[in-house]
Amino acid sequence: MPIAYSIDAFTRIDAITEIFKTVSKLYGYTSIIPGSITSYNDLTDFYPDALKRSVKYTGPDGNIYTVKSDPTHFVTQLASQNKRTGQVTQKYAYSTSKLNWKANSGKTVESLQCGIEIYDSKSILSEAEAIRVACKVLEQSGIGKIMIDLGNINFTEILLSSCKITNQDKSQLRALIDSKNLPELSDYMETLNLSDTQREAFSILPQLFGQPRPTINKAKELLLTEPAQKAIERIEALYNALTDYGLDPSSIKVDFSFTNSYSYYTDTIYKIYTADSGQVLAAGGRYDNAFGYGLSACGIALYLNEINEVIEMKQERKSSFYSKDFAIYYNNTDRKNAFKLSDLLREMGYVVTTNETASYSNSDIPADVEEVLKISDGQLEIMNQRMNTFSRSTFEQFIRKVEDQYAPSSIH
Amino acid sequence: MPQVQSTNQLKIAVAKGRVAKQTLKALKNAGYKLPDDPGRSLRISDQDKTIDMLFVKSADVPTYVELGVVDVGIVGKDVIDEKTYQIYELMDLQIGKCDLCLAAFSDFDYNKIPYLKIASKYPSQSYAFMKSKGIEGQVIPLEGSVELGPIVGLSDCIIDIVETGRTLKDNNLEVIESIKPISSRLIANKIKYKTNTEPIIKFMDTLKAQLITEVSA
Repeated sequence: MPIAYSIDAFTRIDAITEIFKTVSKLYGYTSIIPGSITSYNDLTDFYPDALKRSVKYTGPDGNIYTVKSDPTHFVTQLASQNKRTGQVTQKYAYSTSKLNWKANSGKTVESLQCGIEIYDSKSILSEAEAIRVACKVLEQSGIGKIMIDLGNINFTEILLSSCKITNQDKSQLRALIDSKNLPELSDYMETLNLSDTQREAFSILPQLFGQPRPTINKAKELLLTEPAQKAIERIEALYNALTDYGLDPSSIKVDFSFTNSYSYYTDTIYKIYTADSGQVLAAGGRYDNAFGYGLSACGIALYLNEINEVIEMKQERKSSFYSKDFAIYYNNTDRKNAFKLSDLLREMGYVVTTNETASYSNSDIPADVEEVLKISDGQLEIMNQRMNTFSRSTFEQFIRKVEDQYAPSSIH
Repeated sequence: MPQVQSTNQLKIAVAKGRVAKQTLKALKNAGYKLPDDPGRSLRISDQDKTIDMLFVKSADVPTYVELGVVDVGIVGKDVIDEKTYQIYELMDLQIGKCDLCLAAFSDFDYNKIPYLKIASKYPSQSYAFMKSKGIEGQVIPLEGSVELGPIVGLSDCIIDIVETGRTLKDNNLEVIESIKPISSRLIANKIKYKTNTEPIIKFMDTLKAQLITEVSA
């Protein structure tokens, strides 16, 4: 499966990645390139889902390895090594691709993602920052109506751990809570030895989502143990931190039915999406002591293919998606001038292509070029595709105008 | 009269055929102004523009829902259980009722067959059944007319949904074991359920009220 299907898609994904690099850098994240191969044994104890979905191979040494299964393991390993050399509160940003076997299509799919990971910080503010960075990237990529779901897997897990039932029954309960399948959840609980309080709590869980304040208050009304109360407090603290970051409170929701069916998270988890689409655009959470490295950690991943699809669907940014600032058309006699002009523009930071052709029609001009320059008799004919304007100028006038007025708008 | 807001039209994917007919009937009874017979239309709306219904192949309903093309879907439990979908399963609609059954010739006994061959449109659920019974064997995936499997010697038995049992009887087969009851479910996209909650909840309430009316009638 290809990771993108068109030049437009690659251009958009590249632009989102650039935005991610800029934003994460502004927040103090160090950019790294995750490795592609992970020892299978390193993952299975902490991330059994790798068993099902990852691409594996047996190396010449007889060991089993996974390929592009999860960049988080690599980043955590790196953070662990750096901690030994005395680094504290490490913040990393990466962009990579991931291979996943999709049960529904029966195929291995390669998808692109960017992510940030924060190590050695137990503060809820780290999680808030991770979410803020992800939202910034989405906003600057042109995604509107951003929504954030906050949850804490401990809430369900603590309730489950208080039940004297088998692990298989716990898995089944998780699946039914995850899918908000109330009728079957009710039937299944009838077969289990649960107290009335436990039964009531599990019945309420799938419906325990919505606006933070009322949902949190409703959760607090349940007869809960101290650790479960702490799980609620963590969500509340995260919500407060996000609103302090300036996020619109109405865009934040809380869902207590999140479970840890598939991943390595240990506490708060979050999902970011847009009301314009039915797919999650970013997700993350806290994963303390993940993979056995003994580090407190949290992070978030942005799903570039899904983000691209939303932008493509809305075509909000299409008009501003120029991958080239200038395309210079010239005939053989003007070649020297064309090269000189293109070099001058490139030195100023513009993306420029040159095309040797005596004449061209509008249909020959690529849509991703903002301004077309045709050299004719020592003069320039200038066609701006964004503004839909046409003008003539001398070289000197044009260069002066570029220096005074223009700024590169292409994605580069 | 349904309470769904017309400004937030609810998009629904419904499995074509029997489920679509029963869904239309239930929604009309609940007050939605829908045509008696949509004919060959694959998309219809009610007069008040509160719902927008797409009629799709049953196996495609969860995909439409999972990818968020529609808010909710109505499809049989047999389809939902065949693959792993990231969806919410909100309600048992008590329509399209049937059973997933193992069927074969009357003298069939799977305990006497060391390596069982099952023909089925439902390979995942067939393997799950074999696993639960400790049966060794294989599933032969077929897209239709699975009853032919035992008749032509392709398989020892079949696993399929059975409503009246008439097709089985016509082919000299009978139900050996009922594996699980099947009915149509209301499923929802996980994100649409959060972003379009009100219309979905109201739609559910309308359907629930209709179910209660039918049960008590």
